[in-house]
Amino acid sequence: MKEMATLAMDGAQAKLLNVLLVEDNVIDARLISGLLKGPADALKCRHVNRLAEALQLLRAIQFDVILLDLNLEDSAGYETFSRILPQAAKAAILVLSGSDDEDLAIRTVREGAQDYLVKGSFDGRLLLRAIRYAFERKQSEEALRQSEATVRAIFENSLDGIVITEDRGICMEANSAAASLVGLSREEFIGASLFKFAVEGFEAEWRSFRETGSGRARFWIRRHDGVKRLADCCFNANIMPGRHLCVLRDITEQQSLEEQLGQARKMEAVGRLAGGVAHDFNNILGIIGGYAELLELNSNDEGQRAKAEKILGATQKAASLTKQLLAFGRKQVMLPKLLDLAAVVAEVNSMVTVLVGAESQVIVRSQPDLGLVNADQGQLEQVILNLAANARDAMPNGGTLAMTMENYVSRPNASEVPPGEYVRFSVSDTGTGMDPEIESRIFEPFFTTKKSGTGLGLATVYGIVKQSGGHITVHSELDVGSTFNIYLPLIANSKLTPPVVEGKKRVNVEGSETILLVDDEDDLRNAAGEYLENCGYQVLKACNGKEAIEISDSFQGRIGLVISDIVMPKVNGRGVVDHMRKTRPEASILVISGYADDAIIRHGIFLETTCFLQKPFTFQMLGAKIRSLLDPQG
Amino acid sequence: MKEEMYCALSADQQTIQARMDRQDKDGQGKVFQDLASDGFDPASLWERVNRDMDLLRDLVELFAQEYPGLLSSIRAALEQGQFVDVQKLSHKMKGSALQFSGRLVVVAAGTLEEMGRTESLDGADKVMATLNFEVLRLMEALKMMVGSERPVM
Repeated sequence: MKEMATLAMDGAQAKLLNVLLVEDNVIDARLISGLLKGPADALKCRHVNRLAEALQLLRAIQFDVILLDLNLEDSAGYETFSRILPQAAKAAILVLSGSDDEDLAIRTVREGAQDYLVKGSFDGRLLLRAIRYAFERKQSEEALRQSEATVRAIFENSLDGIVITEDRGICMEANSAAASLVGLSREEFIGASLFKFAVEGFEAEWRSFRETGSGRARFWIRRHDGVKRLADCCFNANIMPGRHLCVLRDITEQQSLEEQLGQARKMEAVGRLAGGVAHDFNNILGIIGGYAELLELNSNDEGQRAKAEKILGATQKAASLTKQLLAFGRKQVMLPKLLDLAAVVAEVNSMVTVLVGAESQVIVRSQPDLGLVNADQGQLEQVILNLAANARDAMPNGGTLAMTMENYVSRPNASEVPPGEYVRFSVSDTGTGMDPEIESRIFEPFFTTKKSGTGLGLATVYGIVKQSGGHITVHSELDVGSTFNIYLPLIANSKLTPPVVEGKKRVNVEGSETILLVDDEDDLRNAAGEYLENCGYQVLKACNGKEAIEISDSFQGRIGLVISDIVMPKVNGRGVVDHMRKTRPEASILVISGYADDAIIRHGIFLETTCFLQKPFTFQMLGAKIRSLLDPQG
Repeated sequence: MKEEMYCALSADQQTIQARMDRQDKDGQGKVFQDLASDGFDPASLWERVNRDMDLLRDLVELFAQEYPGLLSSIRAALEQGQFVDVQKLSHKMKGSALQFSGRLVVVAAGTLEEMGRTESLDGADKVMATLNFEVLRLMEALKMMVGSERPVM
């Protein structure tokens, strides 16, 4: 009794089991019920003597364990078991057999029962133990079934290919993703060798993985249809004796993106480099232009003045080219606005000329009353340069690149673009042309006929045109050339007001105020200082921010204007500006720099509250700017 | 089981009768060991019921209610040649006897069950007589077992 109590107590600490006893022999039933009624009531036992009653009860109540006599009033033998099994999928079944039908009982265990007991051969302790073990065995079976179902679901639904092979690399099991990767159905893939699909290097890797037990490698796969895909493979040898796991991930697109990212990073680095070079170049141009201007202003010799003017003109052209280069490499948010396409083309024309090379001719034609379009200027410049680069590649020995702009009206059913009014921008070259197959794919991302091309240039053009609400078409003929036609919706017919061009108009730049001039470039500082002194200003000069602050703090008089470069050693322009705003709030401030304006923002100077003049500038521009700041407004 | 083995039981019948007389005379203090015979194993029965006297009494009472009808049904089935009923009812008797460790009842009932299954009732009368006798013998032993207050093993 003590042992029974212990078992029952164990049962009490575990789950309270709900037991159904299906037994038509009253003595057997009474014996079993009596044995199951322990002191701790670890079991709750319900008794029925017919199969029909048991089935009805099972439909309503979930039992943990069923004690089942196979020979009942309304059912006999295996049929009793086979009828109750579907109704009791989650219950453990313990068959109560007679001594002469043990074979039948064993059969039921094979078919799904957890155990059997021979009547007359068990006592209470054995019965309790058998019930508890049957329940636990059922729980384990259920947990295993769920685990297998989960693993199977993961296996089947994984986006990565999963293959199980034997020692020679023959596929024994594969999921749909793996089969798809090699271009076969699952049934076709099973039994095939992985070696058949791997392009090269796989055999050596396979040997290595088998020896080391695991590993990872990338290799090319040739699909059944011949297409090559790059796969990242993870191997695990001997997950079971003679079975090896391969997980395959198609990284073809990923690698392409990585290459493009690398290319983009290179371009970004080049852009940064260009920015740095442009800054230094602008400073040099400033010096050249500055002294040329001084020569022009101070010389009485007509011939000398004419030469100085030529020098000035050349520096301005060089400055324009630098500006275009900076604009192309600049990363900033662009906004669409009303644009004159002819003006945009004129803006980048010099760059296009450089891009196509000296062996090619660039022709630009524009309709006089060209309409306006709504687009982002930077993006349009990119379109022009991309198309120019494409034309250059089509003319390896030189040729003609023609850019034409005209108003175009598309009629219904008579045009390659939807009906409407457009500004048509055509870029034609006299290059090698394209066959129809290439022509049909020319705007596809990553499609390229060049060895080193990314395949994104014309895809970008396409994207920008569509983003601007336009259309793009291409016509090409082998050995004749290609024409790209871009149709942008015509927004307005009125001309834009041309911007005021500074430089040639002479303004009064004389003054008598005190100016603090700060620039670490000695020649530029000296030239600008000489110019301003000639204009009548008192000029305090400093070669860096620290010196500027010292001069300002020690100067007793009023400083009307501070002109400061931004990037300087010791204390930079930001430091100078901050100090002046605190100590001489009445002074106007003008910052100058050879960097593009995004670099200025990075240095913490906000253009909304500070005046800025981009280097290189003529001294006339500087003088005009100074007067605009010092003269009373209004 | 050979037929002659059942004929040899008449001597035991006298032994049982003597014991029953002793019980009537004593009324109490029965020794389970004395109840043990070739046809009855009280020790295993006692263990089977987990030494629960109340449970044993219930079972014995149930058997006492059940066995007369069962014996009579088996007899009727034999007389009518109802093989399936012979098999089924004998099986039932056998099952009950198993629980009571009534070995000889099990043997006799099992023989009848087999006869019913094979549809061959030759010698069934004698087996029936043996069954009858052994059931009564078992019943008496059970009554003595449950009649004692403190079982001594």
